[in-house]
Amino acid sequence: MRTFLRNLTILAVIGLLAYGMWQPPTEDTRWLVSLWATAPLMGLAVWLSQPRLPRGLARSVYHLGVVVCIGFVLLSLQLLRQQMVQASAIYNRVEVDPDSGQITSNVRPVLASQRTVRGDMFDRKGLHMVGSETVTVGNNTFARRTYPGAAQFDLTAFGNVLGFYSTRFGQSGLEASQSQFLSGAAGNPIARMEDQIFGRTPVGNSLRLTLNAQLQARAYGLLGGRTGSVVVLNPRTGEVLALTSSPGFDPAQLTFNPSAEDWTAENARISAYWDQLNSDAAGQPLLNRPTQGQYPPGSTFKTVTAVGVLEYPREGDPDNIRCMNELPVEAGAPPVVNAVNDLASLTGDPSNLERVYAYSCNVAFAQYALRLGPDRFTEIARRFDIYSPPDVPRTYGGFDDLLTASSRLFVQPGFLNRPLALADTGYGQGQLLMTPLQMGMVAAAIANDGVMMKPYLVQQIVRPDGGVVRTQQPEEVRRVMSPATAAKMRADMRAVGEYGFGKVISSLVPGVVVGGKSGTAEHAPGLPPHAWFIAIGPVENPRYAVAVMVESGGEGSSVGGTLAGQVLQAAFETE
Amino acid sequence: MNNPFLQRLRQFRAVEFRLLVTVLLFFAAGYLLLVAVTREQDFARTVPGIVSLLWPVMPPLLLFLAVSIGLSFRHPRADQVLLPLVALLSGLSLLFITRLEPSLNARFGTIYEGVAGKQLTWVMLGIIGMSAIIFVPWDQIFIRIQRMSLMDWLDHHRYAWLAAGMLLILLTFVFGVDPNGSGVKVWFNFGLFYFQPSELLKIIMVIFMASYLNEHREVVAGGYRLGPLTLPPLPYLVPLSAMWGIAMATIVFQRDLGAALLLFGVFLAMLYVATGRGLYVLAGILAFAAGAYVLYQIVPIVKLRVGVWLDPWATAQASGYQIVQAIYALASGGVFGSGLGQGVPAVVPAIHTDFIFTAIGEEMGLIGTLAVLIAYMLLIFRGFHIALAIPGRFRGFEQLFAIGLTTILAVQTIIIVGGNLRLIPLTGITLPFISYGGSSVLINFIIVGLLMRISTQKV
Repeated sequence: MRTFLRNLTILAVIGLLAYGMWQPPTEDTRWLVSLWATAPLMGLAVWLSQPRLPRGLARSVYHLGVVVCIGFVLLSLQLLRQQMVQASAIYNRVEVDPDSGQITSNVRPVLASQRTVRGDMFDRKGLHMVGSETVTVGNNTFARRTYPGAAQFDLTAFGNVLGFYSTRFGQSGLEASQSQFLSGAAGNPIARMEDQIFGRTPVGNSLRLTLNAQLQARAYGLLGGRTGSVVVLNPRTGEVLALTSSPGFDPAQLTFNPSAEDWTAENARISAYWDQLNSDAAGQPLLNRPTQGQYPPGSTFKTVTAVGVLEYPREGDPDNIRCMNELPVEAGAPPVVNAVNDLASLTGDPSNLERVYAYSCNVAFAQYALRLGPDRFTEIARRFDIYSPPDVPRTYGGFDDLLTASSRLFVQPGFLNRPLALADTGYGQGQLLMTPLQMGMVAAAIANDGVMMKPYLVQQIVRPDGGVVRTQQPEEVRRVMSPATAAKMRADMRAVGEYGFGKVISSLVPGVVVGGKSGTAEHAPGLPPHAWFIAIGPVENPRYAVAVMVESGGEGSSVGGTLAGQVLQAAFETE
Repeated sequence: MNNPFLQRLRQFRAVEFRLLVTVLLFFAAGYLLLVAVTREQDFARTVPGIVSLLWPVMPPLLLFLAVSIGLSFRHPRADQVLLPLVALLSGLSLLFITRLEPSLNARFGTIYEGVAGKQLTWVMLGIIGMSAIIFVPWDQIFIRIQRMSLMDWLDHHRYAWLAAGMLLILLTFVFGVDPNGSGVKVWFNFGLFYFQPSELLKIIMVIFMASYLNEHREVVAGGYRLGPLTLPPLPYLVPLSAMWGIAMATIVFQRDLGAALLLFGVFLAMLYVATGRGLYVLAGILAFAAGAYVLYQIVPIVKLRVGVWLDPWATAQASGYQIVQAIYALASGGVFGSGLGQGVPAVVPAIHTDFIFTAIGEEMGLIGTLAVLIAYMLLIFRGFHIALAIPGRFRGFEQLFAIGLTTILAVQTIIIVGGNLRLIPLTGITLPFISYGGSSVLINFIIVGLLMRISTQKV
């Protein structure tokens, strides 16, 4: 009976402890209550498991010892919870006082990061863009970010890619996504252990980027203060050669300089820059538009529709098409119209895919989309990682070096089941939301004989001792279209540059045959349309896939085409 | 065969000596690591360099070795485990206060300048005081002057001790000062240093309790029957209730919650050990709970401490700051700790006194804190062992005295570590042997000296 009772008590103790131990730190009270409840139970268990002692000093001291022992066991259990089971949850606990808004958090992560010498970043040609130095102030050593790249370039062009690193405002860009490697927390566990044992200042790993810094700077200059994006990819590998977001920001100005005379003034300077970046007039410079901006793609999306009809020639019947002035789709709804009246005089009547693509005939692509039907159309878009609700990932997993939004074929579930919606989507309006990067990937897939490559920015991660942590190998996302379809699409894009609504790019890149597709996207009544252009060059053996986009920039064929041509020119000049 | 040299050699306290050498090596290694981490420029990789680094901090541990050798001659059969444990805890204290001093200076300016040196001095004085209790032939001296042994003398003057205790409390009311702004006036200013009378009060109380309970053990335990009820013998409980009153009065008037809790805990433990009656303990706890509830209502500091204990995060920037930072520090240590000299313990206020356990937790991790707790457990159980090993039937006073002294260490450790870990409301009190503080170190060494002396008598 005593044994049974004792076992029951022990079980109760274990149960209470297990229940309490896994309570989150915010529910500390539950844990304390269950811990205290175990104390009398433990006493009971000891009492039940010992023979009765004769009354006397020995017995009393024995009982006193048991009480002291239980006290120490309670202390040990509390330590076990605070230092092991819930240690990381407590370590990272942040408490905000609802009344005063004051934040209570652990100072150690910040202090540790202030000491860490973060790794460097180099562009594809080995230009030193970001570095670190240690600064000794009094007895304390701080590490801080330096930007050697600023000697050669305007850092504003690089802010969103490299990212800022601030102990106050956090981190963004590669500083955030590669933080584990840059800080050395990942990549060289042995060196990290040595650092810890000997108390050395940890040194992080360096990044060799795929970015061409000269091209990035040129592209930013070409945007010339307009709000927009430029994406340049190597279609064969997926290397990101340029990823420009305008307006940008200067990460150096968010870097605290511990050697400054007056830390208060230094903090005020950073705060002022931060406030300026976040003011309404600044135009969201912290938003990385190529990967986080989601826009209607306009006629550049006809490329996807064209791939659709080429992949489904029986349903799509690409070369049996007419470019009327208008196409009534639903009774009572306005018909689909072209941007230019009497386009048939240019495309010919009947026409073919190349000519309706070159002259960007909305009516023709509306018909193509209707021929394909919503299911095939959705399937083709999904091949390009353009998602349809409800299965839209919150962030796009195909590019993980920077925070990237998912592109969507439409927003409301079931939207494409309306014929008019399907027709609008076919020529790039409807509810389409595309990131410039995704449009660049569409162009790159065509350039790479139909295989879409996973884009990447980090070529190699290198240890301080020169050893390689990781080298990024080109990775296929999937084959999006047959090589024949890709070849046909290149010919279509070449036609745009040769005689269609994109001739301007050919004139900007003399001696190289280039192709592309313009886009003019209506997005808000009363505002100029977004100007888009996707391009590949040289068409026969493409080395570059480009997507450019100027918010409310005007006509894609002129504004977009000019910018894309200039970017291609810069790419050839800086390679 | 009866060579006097071989006789000495047989008496050599090898267990204690080896353990002390281990502690010394542990301390030396820890100190070198600390220098290598925090003052890399001073660290020399040569033998003379290392010796010159170590010699200023080694005297306390060398003194321990000297005491051990001295014991081999004078009291070869005294307990062999107490000294190494105390040396370990004191070594840890010196190590951590040396480590904390620069951090404290960087954070609070120069008011903590030289704490490591002072602690070193206090530990040495403590060892000397302990040696004085062990080695001076007090029994002969007292027999010559007072015609009784030291223990008998302590036993005999019990009401003098009670009066001395009361006087000490009164003096604290009158002359108490508050040198470090902790809000309680419980120090005496002796010009050269500050002394905390409550440290002395604990020993005085234990002497009185041991003597009183030993004298009246049978009566107090027996009680008298009144119909079906067994009532405690009321007249004999009056002095004991006076103790309870003193504890409560200390809370109300001095705001010294830690000392009051300690005194009351030791009081209950000794009462139980002497009488073997759990009912008294239960009654004592209920009386304390009732008193505590009333005090919670009327004394603001009690209410504050309990409020902070229940939810430190609600006042994380004000009264809860210390405990919240301590919680962060412990969690940051994890299982293996950040490493000596590599944590940021100084963000916790009073890190070198009340919260030194947290610093150990941050830099040595769970394995360090558990090791320290184990060391205390061994120390405490060794104390109980000494009490129970006292031979003879008429040594009740010494038994109770040893138990009382040990209980002081036990209760004090549980109260302060429990407060650090937010197991119980925080009360300001030192961690025996480890916390910075002269009076505390001195009194703890005297406690160990008394225990050692009692343990020598098991002939």
